[in-house]
Amino acid sequence: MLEGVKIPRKTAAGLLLPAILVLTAACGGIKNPEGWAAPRLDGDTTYYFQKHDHLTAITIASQGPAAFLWNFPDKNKPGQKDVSLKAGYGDPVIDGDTLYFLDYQGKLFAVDRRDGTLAQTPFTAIKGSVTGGPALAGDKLAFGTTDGHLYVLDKIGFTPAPGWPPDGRTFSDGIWSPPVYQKGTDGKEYLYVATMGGRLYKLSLADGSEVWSQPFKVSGAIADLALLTPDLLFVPSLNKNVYLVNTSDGTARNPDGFGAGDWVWTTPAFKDNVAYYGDFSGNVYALDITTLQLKSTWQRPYDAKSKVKAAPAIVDNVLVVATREPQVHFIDLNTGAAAKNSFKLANAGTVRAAVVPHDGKPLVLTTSGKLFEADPTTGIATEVVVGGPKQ
Amino acid sequence: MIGEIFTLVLINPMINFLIILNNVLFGSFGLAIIAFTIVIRLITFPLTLRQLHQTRAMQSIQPRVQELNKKYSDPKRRQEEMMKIYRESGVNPLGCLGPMLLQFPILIALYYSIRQTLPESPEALENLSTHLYSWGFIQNAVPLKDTFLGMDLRDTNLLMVVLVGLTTWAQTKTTVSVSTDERAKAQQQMMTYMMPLMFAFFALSFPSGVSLYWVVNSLVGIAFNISTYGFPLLKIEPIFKPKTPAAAARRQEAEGNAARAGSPPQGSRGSTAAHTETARELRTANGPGRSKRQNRRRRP
Repeated sequence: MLEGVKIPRKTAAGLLLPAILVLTAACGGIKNPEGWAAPRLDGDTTYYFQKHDHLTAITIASQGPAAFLWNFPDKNKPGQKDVSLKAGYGDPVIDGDTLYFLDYQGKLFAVDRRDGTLAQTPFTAIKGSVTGGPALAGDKLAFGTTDGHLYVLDKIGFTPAPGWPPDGRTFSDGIWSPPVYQKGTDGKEYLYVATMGGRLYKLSLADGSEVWSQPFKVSGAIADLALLTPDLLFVPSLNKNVYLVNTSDGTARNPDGFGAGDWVWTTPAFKDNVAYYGDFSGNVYALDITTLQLKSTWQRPYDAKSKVKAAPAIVDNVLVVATREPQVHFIDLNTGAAAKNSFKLANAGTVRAAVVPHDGKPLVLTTSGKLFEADPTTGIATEVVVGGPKQ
Repeated sequence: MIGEIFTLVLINPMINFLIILNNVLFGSFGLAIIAFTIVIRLITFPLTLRQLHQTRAMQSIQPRVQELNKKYSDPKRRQEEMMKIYRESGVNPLGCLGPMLLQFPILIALYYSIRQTLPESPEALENLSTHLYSWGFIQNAVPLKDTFLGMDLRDTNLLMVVLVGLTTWAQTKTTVSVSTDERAKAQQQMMTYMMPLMFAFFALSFPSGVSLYWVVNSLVGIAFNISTYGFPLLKIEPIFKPKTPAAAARRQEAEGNAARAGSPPQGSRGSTAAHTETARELRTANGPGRSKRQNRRRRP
């Protein structure tokens, strides 16, 4: 096209460089699913996604390195040669010797906790991707998909539970949060299911029928859900509000919501009628469920200065919050001020998984697969070093 | 720094505009992509038109360029003469490149915006919050519905891969070939087939939302090409005729006068056959590529 036209090398480089920079900027940030499942603990034994494609079991010791137990999948174990795992978002569930968990591609696994072998054939006939669950509901497992299917399966055999369709019950919008299971005071079992269309349903576990006369509705997506007390649900929304919904009839105690600075996509830590949680603007709130206001002893929300996706954890009187920075903050529960200086997790990716209480030193899992113990007494987070024969 | 500016100036407005379109167009993100691509192509149409006209102008002077290539073995001299032709014809050799370079960041931003707005992973949706304006109309729309005509816009779709290849091929076919050199022509011919194959190959790893954008973008490109160059096969005349440069207008006027007076036009240069003949005569009489007056000035 430009036959015979010579562009000086410097000009060509000058034109190319911004183009490459722009291209780099544009392509950055788009990543494959990494997962944000929180570690699941049973005593000192911890099950967590060390990488997006495998689950690891370790035993954390009070002194010295943690002992490696097993990885899943392990190509050398029977039946695992062709098993692939692609990022886990829902926290694994412990039931006896079995660990249940789902991956993003919609595979449900049951693994023997003792040795990491498959306890059952994985269930793969799931439509859509899974970002929440499973929830253990008695002898059933419940989880939703981003395509809006709610599956309820018998935990043994992974067959559809009686009264539930094999392809799951269909909703008009995606289900991103794990369903919440409740055994009511009436002896009946219920599931609370939130959708990204801003609807919250109470369903009978027996047959999937709706219990409330109409679902609870908000203007923004509901990406997470938690049961605070037997009669109150914590409903965060991407419309920058948190709602407290009565489990009895699906009405909100605060119909206008408790405002936040940005999206709220997390579950809270709950203590003494106060729900503690962060938002995407970096604010950490203490919502008193009795007054429906910020806790009276907090003058203002705590400013963590970076997005908060991870649910916080409480140790005695300290709230441990991990931000996307990633930085660990230690906040005085009573005053809402910093109890210690925040601690930067160096070369650790970012934090999206919930902070998990553990023996006074909550565990913080980063996207680079590093596990830290955050000590509120010292204000220091120490990496859990894993030893053993194989990692 | 460049990345931040790029995000602030291009990507954020595009993402928010896409979501507004999605809300207006019945919550269909597929329709939003189509409308968005057309709107962006219309906004950048003056740039595209300029590029198309420059390409056509380049094509029109190719016979003279070929002649120069044959005539001068000294590259420096050839370059000088070539620049002279460009100047006289009112053609900017970088004219084709400039608009293309300006469109480049826009296209990248478009691609990125579509990928960001379609949450391919939960992390992508989480990241989307940083790009959204704080209007409830926009905030409450996410996550967007990612199906269109039965296909998941996040996944690769084979039909879209084929369409990407076909539309890219059609766009290349309707583009004017600039070079008259046989070797260059052969290369361009090869590109007519290589480009579609290459893009179809890329589309195998694209979410079909991005492929949809590419298909619509190519269709609009084909429409622009046909409206600028015409399409002889279907006897379609160009709608957007090129602006005649001042020099060319003067030349045409001079040629008209000369024809009436029965003598060659004085001081006229151009790309027409008549002018080429005149120039050839001048070179024959006064040395390669020079008029008698130029020779006098050089060798006093």
